[in-house]
Amino acid sequence: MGLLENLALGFGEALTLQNLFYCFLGVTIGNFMGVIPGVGAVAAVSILLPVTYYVPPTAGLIMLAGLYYGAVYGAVTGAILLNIPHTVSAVECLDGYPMAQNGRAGVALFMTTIASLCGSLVGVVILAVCAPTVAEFALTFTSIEYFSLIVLGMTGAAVLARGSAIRSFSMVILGMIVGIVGTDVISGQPRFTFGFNHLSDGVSVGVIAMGLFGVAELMGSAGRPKPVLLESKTITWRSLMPTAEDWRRSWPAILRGVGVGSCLGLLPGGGAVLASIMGYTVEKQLARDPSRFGKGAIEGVVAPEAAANAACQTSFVPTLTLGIPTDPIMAVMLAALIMKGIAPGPSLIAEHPDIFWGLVASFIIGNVLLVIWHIPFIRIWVQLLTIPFHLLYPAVIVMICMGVYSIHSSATDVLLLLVFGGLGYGMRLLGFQPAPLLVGLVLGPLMEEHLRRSLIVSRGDFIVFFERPISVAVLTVSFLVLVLTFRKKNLPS
Amino acid sequence: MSGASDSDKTQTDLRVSARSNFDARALLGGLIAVALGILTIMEGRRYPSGSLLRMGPGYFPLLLGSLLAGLGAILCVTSFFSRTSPRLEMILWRPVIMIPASILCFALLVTPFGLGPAVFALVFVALLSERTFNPRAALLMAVGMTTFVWIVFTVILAMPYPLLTW
Repeated sequence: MGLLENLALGFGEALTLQNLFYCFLGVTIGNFMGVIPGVGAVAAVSILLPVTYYVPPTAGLIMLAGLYYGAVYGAVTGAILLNIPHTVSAVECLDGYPMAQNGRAGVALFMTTIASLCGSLVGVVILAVCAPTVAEFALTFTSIEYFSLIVLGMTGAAVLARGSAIRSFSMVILGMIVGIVGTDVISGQPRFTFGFNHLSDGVSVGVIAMGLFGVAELMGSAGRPKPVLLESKTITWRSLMPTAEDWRRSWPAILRGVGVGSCLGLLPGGGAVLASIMGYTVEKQLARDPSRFGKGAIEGVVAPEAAANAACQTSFVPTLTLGIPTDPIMAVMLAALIMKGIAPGPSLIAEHPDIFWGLVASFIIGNVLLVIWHIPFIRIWVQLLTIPFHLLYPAVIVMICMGVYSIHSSATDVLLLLVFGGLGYGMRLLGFQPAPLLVGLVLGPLMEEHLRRSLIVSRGDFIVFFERPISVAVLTVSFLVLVLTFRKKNLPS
Repeated sequence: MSGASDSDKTQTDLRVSARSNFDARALLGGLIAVALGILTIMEGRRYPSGSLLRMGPGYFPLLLGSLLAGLGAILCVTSFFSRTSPRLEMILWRPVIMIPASILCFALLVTPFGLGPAVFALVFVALLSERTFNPRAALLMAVGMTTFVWIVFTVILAMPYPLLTW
């Protein structure tokens, strides 16, 4: 089947009333959660994870994906107007906030919306073209290749995260240890359940994600004074209009951002956060006058935004075709797929073309919806920033608790949420990032399974990982990434 | 760290001396990692580890426990030669205590008494995180959220959770 036929199938699926509704719901709630401070994209996606129990798989995935890119869209609003470094839009503060201080918030908001749309659309095209090819290639993969790919994924997650690589590796390993809790897939024996029957199915990824990213974040941010909102009243239609100079500076920056973001999204451990940082770095390095950056250079706002959104879409390639998530949000998406009884991997596109192509089509629809939603109603979105935080966080905790409780109707799960919230807050205080932990949690059980299967095939000989060409190549790349990072991090900055 | 924090006893600044090259956060984190690694090894030893040819359920946990303990040890050692000036973020004790307390209230109340009391208590206790706690506003917010949850989860989504039970 050609690409166009597939897309036609996808649009047929995505344009059903139900799927359209969930797409709309996802992007709207995502945008809302992205705009309001204190809730990141990971928490937003995990809060609504239980809803996917009640809807068909395609609709559920469309909604979760919509939440993700919707939140990425929305986050930049807070970055520009409030100087709030949201996880996905931390670098947009650097030049976005100075632009707002110079009275150019409207232009910044308009241009980032355009940049987001360009990034997303190119990302979707790459997803539609690459994913089937990668999947076909990956059909020949055995446990040996998967083990190596997982090693690469974990290395990527650890070295590309913020902070020192040793800290991130400890978090990956800790996540893998938490992943042991439950029933051993090969022997059927319950492990690390400490006598609690409740733990024999393991701890739900949603509970852990909401604890680490939701509860821990609120424990750190509730009750703090809020930064002052800039010119919420002065954002008029006219102020949105960029000048010819803005366009001239933005176009090349957007294109470069899209390129950087698309590539990083494909890499395990890349993802939107890293893409936006790299997008900014590239612009600053290439600029003829780098001193403009940090004082409201429009390139420094649009390039990271385009990169983040492109990465957002292309990161679905490794997640859907290999079953290897590139960042915590993809880990939660993967959990949603598995929860619905769909095994992510190379056969996903062939076995569930309706789900895959429906998802691809919904990305296009969702991104167009976001622009329609965002530009005409920009003043309403900006007004959301003026809602006092003490009205928001109790509602967010209620949603988190209800989300956790509705997974298994279990109050024990809520207590587990508390445990992971405390853990997450402790980690935050000690300077450990939660993102690698979540990746380790999802990849750990897969890694163990593939390792054990490989060693059974090879009769206990590790040399097997260095005999198959793809495995050797992937392990070499992991090793190089590791070496380069340690060399770079050891240099005084 | 300006303004409000100066006179407020609930806000504690745990900044460690910035002069030294010793990173207390890394040492503490490293020690915890070593402890967790050892605990994992101890628990992992309860399961048969098998051989490389046929790994048992205990093999992988032992491997992970050792790795975590090893990484923790590296963190401990390197914490004495840190280049960055270690600095703990300012802790606001009210939310750190009240937010977990609110979740605990929900967990304890939801099964025996139903959604209503659980959500009500959650919102009320969570709002105690505010330094300027206003009981009337909190009551209003708690009632509002309870109604919202009842409409969304019980009426619209038809989840089998009663508003009130005993």
